[in-house]
Amino acid sequence: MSDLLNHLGVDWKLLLAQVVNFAILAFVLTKFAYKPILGMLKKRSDDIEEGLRASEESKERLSKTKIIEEERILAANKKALAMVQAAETTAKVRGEAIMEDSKKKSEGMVESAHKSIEQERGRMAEEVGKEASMFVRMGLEKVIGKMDFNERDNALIAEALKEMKSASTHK
Amino acid sequence: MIEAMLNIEISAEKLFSFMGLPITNGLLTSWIVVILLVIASYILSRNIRKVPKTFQNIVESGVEELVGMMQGVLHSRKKAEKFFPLIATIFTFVLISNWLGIFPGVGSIGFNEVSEGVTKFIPLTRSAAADLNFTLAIALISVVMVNILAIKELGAKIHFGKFFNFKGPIEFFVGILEILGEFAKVISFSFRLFGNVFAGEVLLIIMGALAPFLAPIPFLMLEIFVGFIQALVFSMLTLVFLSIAVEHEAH
Repeated sequence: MSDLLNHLGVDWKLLLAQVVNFAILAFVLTKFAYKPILGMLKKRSDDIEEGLRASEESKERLSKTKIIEEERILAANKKALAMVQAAETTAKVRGEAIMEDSKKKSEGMVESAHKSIEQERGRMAEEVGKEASMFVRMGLEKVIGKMDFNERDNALIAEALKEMKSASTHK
Repeated sequence: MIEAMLNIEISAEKLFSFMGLPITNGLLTSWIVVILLVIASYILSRNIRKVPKTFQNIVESGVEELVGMMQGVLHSRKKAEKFFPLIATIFTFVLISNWLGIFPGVGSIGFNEVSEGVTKFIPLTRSAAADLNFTLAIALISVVMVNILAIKELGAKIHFGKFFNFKGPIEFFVGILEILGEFAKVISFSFRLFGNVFAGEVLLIIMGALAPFLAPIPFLMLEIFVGFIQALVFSMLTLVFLSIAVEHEAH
């Protein structure tokens, strides 16, 4: 047995050296290659899983947000429509009120204009009367000249006025 | 000339002695392999990125493949990762040793030594697995580690119960066979790898001597393949023995 092993070159020192070689290699490879690589593979697969989950989640969230958005738009449309309708009604009511008010105002103005015209006319008639009496007096002075004033004047004036009045009423 | 080239030695040749340790060409090659792998793993560890580049990609795909294979045998990713260093180191060490053995210069660069009036060619390097010390060392590590891991996993009582079973004469005999089996494993492991690689070396030497040009190329390719297969066989057998050893008995 020993001869056979010797012949095959088996030497316990060499055997031990090879065992040490293997041990060193196993230690170094485990520390520098296997652990980092296996760790990285695990990390990467975890990351991919996490990424897929996150994308699925965000997809779901997006679809939910879309629904909410549509609902909000619909509600806003309804609200806007209601607001426009309310504004139309208010405008109608206010327009009618304004029309009514202005109608009343214009009627009042017309009435007051009528009144002032009537007053003016009265005042003018009075003034015309005064001026006419003055003209008549001046005319009579020239025509009658030297007649005694006190008696005839008064009688003539009275008669003339009488005539004037009757004339103006005839007119 | 041819005589010198055809100097085939079954054992690794001693180059010199260092503090009582005979440094053989097989041991030297095995050191070179260790140094190369240490440098490669150090470079790899310095450049590990989340988005892998070429080298990291190659290593990652290899690791993933091996872990996947182990997972298939052990039926658990956790167990596969736990036992990964042992299986992967066996695979890598044997694979790189085998492939380095077919490198030009390995086994052909050396010196002539005159002993007892006979000139003998001693190559500086030799395929590491063509030295029985290398294969025997890994075989011993494989079998011992399988037993240690089984004890860790199942407990010493259950594990040794397989070998020393006193329930009945048949069980007792089966136990003895199990013990013999462990030794048989060491022998089959070491001689299978040694035989394959040594035969490959001899084949290449003979082909190189007979027809140095073109003719050895198919054999070189064959040796690349054999080198890979032997590394795979060694590691997979260790894995299978491990998976059997750490399995809880169903009955």
